[in-house]
Parts: sequence; structure tokens; C-alpha cells
Amino acid sequence: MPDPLLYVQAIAAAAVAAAAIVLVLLGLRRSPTAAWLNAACGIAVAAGSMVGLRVEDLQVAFPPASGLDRLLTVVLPAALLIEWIAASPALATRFAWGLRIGLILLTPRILLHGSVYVSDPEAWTAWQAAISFGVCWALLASCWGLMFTLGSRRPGISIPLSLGLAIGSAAATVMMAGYLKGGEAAMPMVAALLATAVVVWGMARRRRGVSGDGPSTRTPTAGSVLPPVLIAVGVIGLFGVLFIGHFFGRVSGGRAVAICLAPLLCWVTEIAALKHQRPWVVGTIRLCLVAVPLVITLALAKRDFDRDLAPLVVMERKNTVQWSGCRVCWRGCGSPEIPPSGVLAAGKGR
Amino acid sequence: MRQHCTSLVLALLLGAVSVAGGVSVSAADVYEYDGVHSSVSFKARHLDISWIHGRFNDVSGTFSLDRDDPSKSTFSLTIKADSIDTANKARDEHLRQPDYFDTKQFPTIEFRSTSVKPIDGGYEVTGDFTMHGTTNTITLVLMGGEEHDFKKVKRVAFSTELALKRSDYGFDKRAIGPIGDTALIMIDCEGVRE
Repeated sequence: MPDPLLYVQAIAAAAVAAAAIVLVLLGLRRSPTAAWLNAACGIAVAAGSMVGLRVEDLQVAFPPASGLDRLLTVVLPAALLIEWIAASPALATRFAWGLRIGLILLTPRILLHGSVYVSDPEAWTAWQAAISFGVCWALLASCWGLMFTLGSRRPGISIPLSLGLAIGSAAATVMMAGYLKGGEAAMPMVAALLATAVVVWGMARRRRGVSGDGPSTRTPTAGSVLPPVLIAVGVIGLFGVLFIGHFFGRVSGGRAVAICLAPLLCWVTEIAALKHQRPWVVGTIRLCLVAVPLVITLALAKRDFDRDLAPLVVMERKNTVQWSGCRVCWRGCGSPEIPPSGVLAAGKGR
Repeated sequence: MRQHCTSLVLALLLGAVSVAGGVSVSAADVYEYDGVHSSVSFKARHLDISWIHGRFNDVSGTFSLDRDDPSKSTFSLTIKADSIDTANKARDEHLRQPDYFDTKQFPTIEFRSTSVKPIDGGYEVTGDFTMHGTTNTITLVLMGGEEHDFKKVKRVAFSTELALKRSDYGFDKRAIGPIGDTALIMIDCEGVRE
């Protein structure tokens, strides 16, 4: 059963842990390099997510057995490792993108490993497999590539916030489709990602105030405040949660694609009319644009939940809560009598 | 002539070997699980006040019975987890999801015997039970085993009940919630052989 209090605790723990770690790591160096900043953010997001998962007491099997296990223990760590390697100044950009493309190509196969999709020829024909993998690669590549490019062109806190919004919506959609654990796993990730992004943004603004506005290749400022690792974790996390929600849960394909592509609406602010607005205006427009499809998909997910799954939960609640009131008519008349057997038989809750 | 003699001897030898092999094979009768006259059903506590009943509609398996040496008998059963049926479509869909059976990842529930011991009125069968990707050794007490010949089709039936804890098979603790951890499984299977 969902436990909102536990989720709040897990989110808070993940956010605090990630913020504290990134503060300490960035505090260790007076003027951190881009590689150091990237590594610090990666460590903070990973540690914050782990703390949150620990508070949630979410079981993650190792060796990984399910799609979610593989997302948390293989795919996301691989993304962190790749971004850590890619941040090395000595490494060619092409090599970094080679690693990223490798992860893009492998991620769907890793997440489906051992499932009926790859082990049972009756579950998927060759054509279905080819189309599904092709769509997944295109989605992941376009989302990662475009968000990365936007982050390089015009970085800002709105990019990780957009990704955080999308992952949060994906988590809620997956949960409302009946896959509770899939959504729960994403919550600490969102909290850690957002906390890290906010701390880095805040520190960069403070440093800019101290050291001036000039962008530097060595010392990150507000002009280069968006470490690529935050985009990588955000995009891979978003894709992964939606992927397992669709292929292992009951999130529809259209809804998953809509949520996955929603952060790309940040690109709308690159049109000439909006491009030269103040940063906070651009950021607000980006968040509002991204929120529109997310709100629509959430509303649709809620409608489906109310239709399909809520009746199970509602009947359950009737059984547990209303019996503590009236045990005969369920209307609070206060009678202490035991309900007739017909009333007991009427409970359909799962 | 010599060639013919050699062929005859070879043929006789081969025949003797195949007859000997045939004897050892026929000692264990192999039965196919008859889905029409069998069922795998379960029930689990709901809120600790009532029971939820369900069944699996797609089950297959074989068992070989060696009447002379029962320890050589084998039993195997494969249940398609996707075929779960609790008479509520929404609940069935929910039970197929990763919080419960995760049928896309773990499509089958399987039992493979590792040792068989005859007991009064049946067999005590120990084997590997795999559910939700986790394998544990369990012991089933199969009652029955008498052969019945009906219209030239031989039938043998067994019944057993067992209690399994879902937490022993890697089910998420939070998904156990209002449904009890322990599920009672009732297996009534009829095997057929021509």
C-alpha cells in the first residue's frame, strides 16, 4: 500500500544527503574545475538516491532480477560512470559521445534482460522487437542529445527542474498504473537530482558574485553551471522509469512517450522572441511549457486509476475504516453489533 | 552368406538391446497433466478476516511413476503466471504487475522433483519450487496415485495442499500489505497416458 509519510521522509532524506554531499565536495576546492563539479554532482545524486531508497526500505536485488533492479544497479551507475569519464579534460568529445551512444543502444536490452520479450519468441515477433528497440533508441538519443545541447547552449536551473518534473510525473503515472515500486524508486532520484542542481546553482551564483561574470574553462560559473551528469541521470532515469512502467507495468506507450518528450519543450525558449528574455523569464516559460503535457498525462492516469484500481482500494478502505464506526449499517449509527455475513461477503477489496 | 549371418547376429543383438531398454522405460509410466480435469488454485487471507480465492488457468506438466522403484519417479509442473484468475479482471491485471508476480519477467511458476518417497496412500515428493525468480526446496505430500483405465486411457490423480510464504519468494514487503503473506495452494492434478 502507498505510504505518503514514508515517501516524504525518503524524499527529504535523499535531498538533504545529496545537498550536504555536494556542498562538502565543492567546498573542498576553492575553484572547482568542470570535471570536479561533474564528479561531485554524480556522487551526490548517487548517494542521495541510495539514502532515499534505504529510507523507503525498497528491496533491490543483486544480482539484479527485475527491470527495476537493472535500472538501479546497472544502467544508472553506468550513466554516472560515463559522465565521470566524459568530464575528463583529456578525453575527446567524440569518445565521450561514443560511450553515451553505447549506453543508449544497450539500455533497452539491459532492462528487458531475461524477460518474455527477449526469451519468448511468441511474446514478440522480430518486427515488434525491431520497432520497439528503434523507438526506444530514437527517444533516448533525441532526449539526451537535445537536452545536452540545450544545456550547453543556454544552461540554467530550469533544465534539471524540467527533468525532475518529468521524472516525478513518470513516477506518479507508473504508480497509478499499479506498479507501486517502480514509482517509489524514482522519488529519491528526483529529490537528489533537484537538491544537487539547486545547491550547484546557488553556489555558482555566489561564486559569480565573488569572481565576476567571465566564463572560464577551469572554474564553472553560472554561465556553465549545468554539469552534464545531471542531464544524463535525469534523462536516463526518466527513460528508465517509463520503460519499465510500460514494458513491465501498464503505462501506455503514448503516455510514456509524451512524458519522455515533455522536457524537450524547453527548446521553445530558443525561438528569437524568447531567446533574449531574462534568465528567470526563460526558466519560468520552460517550466510552464513542460508542465502542460505532464499535467494532461497525469490527469489521464488519474482517470484510469479511478476507473480500474481505485475500486479495489476503496472497497478495502470501506472494510477497514467504516467497520470501526457502525458494524451494521456502515453509516455511523454507533451500533456495536457484528455485521451480517452478507456484508462481509460484499467486500471486493483486494 | 557370411554377410547375411553377420547382419542377422547384429539385428538380434540390436533387438535384444532395444527390448532390454524397452523394459526399463516401461517400468516408469509417463503421464501428461490433463488440464481439463485438473486445477491449481490458491487462497490468501484478506485483512486477516476473509479469504481471497484464485486459480491458474494455464498449467502443464508430466510425471513418471515407477511402481517398482518409486524413488525413480519424477514430477514436474509448470504454471503460467499470466493465467492468474481471481474473478476480478482489474485485480488480475494488478497481480500480473511487478509488485506481485511480475509475469513479464517471471512468466512461469515451476516445480521439479528431486526425490520421491512412497508413503501410505501416496508419495512424499521433495523438489525445487521456483516462483518470482526465487527457487526454494519444498516437500509435497501427494495423496492418490491409483491408476484408472477409462476408455483405453489410463489416468492417475494426485492431490496436495501446501502453504507458501510470499516473502520467501522475493515479493515486495509493501505489496503484501492487506493480503496475508501466506498463500495456501491446492493442486489437484490428473495425469493421462494412452
